[in-house]
Amino acid sequence: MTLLFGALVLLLLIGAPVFVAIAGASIVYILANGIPPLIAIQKMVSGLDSFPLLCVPFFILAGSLMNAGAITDRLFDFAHRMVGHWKGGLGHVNILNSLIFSGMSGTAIADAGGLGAMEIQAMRRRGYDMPFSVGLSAASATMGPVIPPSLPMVVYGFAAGASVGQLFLAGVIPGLLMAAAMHVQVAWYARRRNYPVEERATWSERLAALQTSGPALLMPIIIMGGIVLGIATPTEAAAVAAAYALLVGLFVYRSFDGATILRSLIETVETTAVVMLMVGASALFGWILVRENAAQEFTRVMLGAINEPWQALLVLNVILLVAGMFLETVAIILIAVPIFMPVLNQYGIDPVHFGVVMVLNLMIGLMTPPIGLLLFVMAKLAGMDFYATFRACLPFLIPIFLVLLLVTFVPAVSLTLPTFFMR
Amino acid sequence: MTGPLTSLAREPEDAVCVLLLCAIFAVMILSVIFRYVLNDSLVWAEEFARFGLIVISFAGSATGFRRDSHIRIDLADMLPAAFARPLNLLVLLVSLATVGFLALQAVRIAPVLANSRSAALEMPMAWLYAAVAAGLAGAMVRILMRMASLLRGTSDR
Repeated sequence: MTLLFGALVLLLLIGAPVFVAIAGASIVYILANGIPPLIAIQKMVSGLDSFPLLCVPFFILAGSLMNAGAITDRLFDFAHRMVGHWKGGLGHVNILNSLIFSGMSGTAIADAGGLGAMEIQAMRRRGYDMPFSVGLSAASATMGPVIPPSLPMVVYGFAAGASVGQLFLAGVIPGLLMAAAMHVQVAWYARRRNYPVEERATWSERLAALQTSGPALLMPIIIMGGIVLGIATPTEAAAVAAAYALLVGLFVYRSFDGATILRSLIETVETTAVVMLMVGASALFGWILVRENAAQEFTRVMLGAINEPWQALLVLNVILLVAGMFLETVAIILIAVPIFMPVLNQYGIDPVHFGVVMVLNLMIGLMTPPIGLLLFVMAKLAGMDFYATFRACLPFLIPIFLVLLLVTFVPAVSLTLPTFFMR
Repeated sequence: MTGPLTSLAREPEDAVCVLLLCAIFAVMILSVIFRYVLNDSLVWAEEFARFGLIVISFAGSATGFRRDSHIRIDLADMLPAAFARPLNLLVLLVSLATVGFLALQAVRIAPVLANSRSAALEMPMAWLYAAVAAGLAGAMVRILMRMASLLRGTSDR
């Protein structure tokens, strides 16, 4: 175990790709313990051989196509006409825009990369200070994986054996609460710093914007409707969503040509391979943890020290927050979930509830050094240095933290919708 | 139209992955249509899509190495150039060793699987591992190319 984790940390620190670090550490363990080395490739391949995981490339493709068409501009326009006239208008537009887009995309990085650039540019032009724009754009991007569809939730469902449909539904209210908390925060800053307002749109202008962005707004409804009503598996829903995005871009917005689609496809296979290799490597790593009885050990330690479910949740939160500072989202989910599952059972914590808790924790991890992928993306977008970006993001962690606390200790916040629709 | 198409012709791993993605996309949509419209399910479709995704993952790793898009902690940015280059070289060496080890096992597993076939397509399982090995070999080539340009000094990562 020491060798395994030692090698993992060392490889991560020198800057090896996450999948190389995880697979490499596992290989070191395999060689040191005289395990047949064929196990390495066999566990990686069988870890990827899963129908539920097939929704990963399709959700990525759907988000990428939506981002590539002129759809993002229309959504921005729609959000602008709805809330632009509030004090600190573009801040509110930023949140609403990200909230709508999170219903089409499943990763925070995609949201930050696609919308972030546009939002920061628009805010800079209206005289907003850079740290405010950057911090808010990073925070609003973290709604992406909380609101369905969500790549981390799919991976969590796969690892925990939980229903992806229920997990998706469980994220809806927490995601909306995040948006509400951020609106409050922006309103507070806007009053103190006297941020500008945009011209108020008339209702007919709003209706026109709703009409043009309507086909895009339908997409999350198609995905959720299909899954919640039990018509489609998440994988089928993802494939249909990607097909829908393609059709809308081709025939409704007419914004696609061959080159755009091809670029989306290349981007999709690249992201898919990067994510899936981490999944495969984590499957190998997880097999070693099972062999080492890591879950039993962890459960024994927890049961010896802790009595109440809320205390257990607190401890798991702290572990996840620390892990999120150092490791990548998908890798953490796949490594931690098998270890945590027996503990959740012991304390009677619902795995669907815990899925939302976990994703929220990992979103905070994306925004904290030394390894915050969102910070890297935002720093590059804004041309700011890494720690300046972190300082800009720091105040915007507050609303996410508040929602995390609420979701952790009030299970009804996440469980009400899935209980009502799917149990 | 020239941009992405020419790049696709230049980067075989991208071409393979994009073709496979289109194939599993088409097969998935087809199977949805068969299941809901024609009330008939395609048993081979699911297996084809699963295997396609496995091959995309390993072949696409070459793309990841070529474009340095694998998620990693990039501390070299914060170090003086004198340290950054050897560190990046070390990372590529470690990646080469890991990927090479996995490729070797994917080749070595073939005789073990000589008689096993997949459930629906009845495809020899050794083929799947051969494709995995080929994808990993592609990744090794891309890592070696990065090392070469690092040593020649045409790039510092």
